[in-house]
Amino acid sequence: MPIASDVAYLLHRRAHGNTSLLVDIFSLNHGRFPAIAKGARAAKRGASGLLQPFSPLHMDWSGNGEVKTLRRFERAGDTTSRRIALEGVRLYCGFYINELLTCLLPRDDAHAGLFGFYQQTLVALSGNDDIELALRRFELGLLDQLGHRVNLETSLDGEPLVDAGHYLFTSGAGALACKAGTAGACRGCTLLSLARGEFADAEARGEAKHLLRRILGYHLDGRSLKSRELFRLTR
Amino acid sequence: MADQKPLLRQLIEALRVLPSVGPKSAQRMAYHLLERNREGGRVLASLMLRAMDDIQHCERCRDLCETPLCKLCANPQRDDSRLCIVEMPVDLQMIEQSTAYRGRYFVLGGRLSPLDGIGPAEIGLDKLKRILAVGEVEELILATNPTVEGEATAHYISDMANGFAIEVSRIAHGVPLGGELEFVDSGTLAHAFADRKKITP
Ligand SMILES: [Zn+2]
Repeated sequence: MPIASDVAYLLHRRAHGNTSLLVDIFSLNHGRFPAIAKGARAAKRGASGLLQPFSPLHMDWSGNGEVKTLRRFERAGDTTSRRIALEGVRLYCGFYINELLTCLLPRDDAHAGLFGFYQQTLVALSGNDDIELALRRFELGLLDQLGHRVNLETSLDGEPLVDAGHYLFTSGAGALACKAGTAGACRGCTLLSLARGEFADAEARGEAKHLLRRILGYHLDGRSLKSRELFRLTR
Repeated sequence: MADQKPLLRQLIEALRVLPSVGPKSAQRMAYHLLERNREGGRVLASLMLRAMDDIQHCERCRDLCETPLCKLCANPQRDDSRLCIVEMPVDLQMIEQSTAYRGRYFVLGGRLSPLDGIGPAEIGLDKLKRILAVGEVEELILATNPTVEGEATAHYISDMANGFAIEVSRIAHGVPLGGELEFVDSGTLAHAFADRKKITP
């Protein structure tokens, strides 16, 4: 049986029978797919400890069906490379981006660009980077990679956005100029700063968050994200 | 009812509610009970019925019990100022059997796992918050598993406890007793190293 290998992350794992794990894999060249890790729950020497989200793994798998069989896995990267360790609120963020991927990323569709982007986001979250900025960048990058690019620089009628303007996003991705004070509107400076990968000011954080929440809600088709509940105490 | 499935078929299908029982094992179980141990099957059936009706969650700690309050919660000798949080009833049993802990428990019945649809409400954290608000608990001991979900759960609960100025500790995770460093995975070793304890002379 042919064996495939790749670098991958676990997005999720759940028990499968008494001793095995059913894992949701996000790999560099093969995209997202489910796999069974036989005996991994009961295995000694940390096999189960390795098969956790947020740590890059080298893995081999086989199988022609929808659910593959994991043959072998080990931590990717040499031992001196920085281990991705998420703690506290940053761990909640990890769950959030994994939930976004499981909800929006179709299976068996390679997204090498998105994989690198996911990895960068994890590194940003495991360091001291601004959490909200890392999340907004990930959300925008994810939408872009899935073909739903959010245009933060030009309005739907082809006009360049201006700092002093106010804009509404109507159908999910396009900006339309509106009057100041319109419900749900974003300031031009918020959108333009977000396009540069930064926040113009404190107000821009809230605006950007609500904007992305609305646009993602449109693509999530009414599904709510459970991981958002984790942030309740931190607000 | 002529179109109803035969009883044997129904029994085999019903047995599959048990974890990791597939069609083959279910069939083996059904034949075994019918051919070799009908009495055992009857006892199992009546006990199953009683257990499903009479075993509830303890009003205070959410452990499984037959009375509104479990034995441990009803015991006045236990220390009300300490509360140990565990994921599953079996974890409570393990701690009871292997430690000298004399405080109270709270059983989550799971851990925060948003991708499985399990958030704070699903593991009884609103109830835990009410217990903490009473003010009796002075120390919270988090005994959730060292998985990413267990870590998230521990962090969420410690955030909650901080709101009530309660001291929080997390059980240490590290090298298993009798284990050798060589065979411990690097994550466990890193954790054990970071959580090292001062040795008092
Ligand atoms: Zn109890």
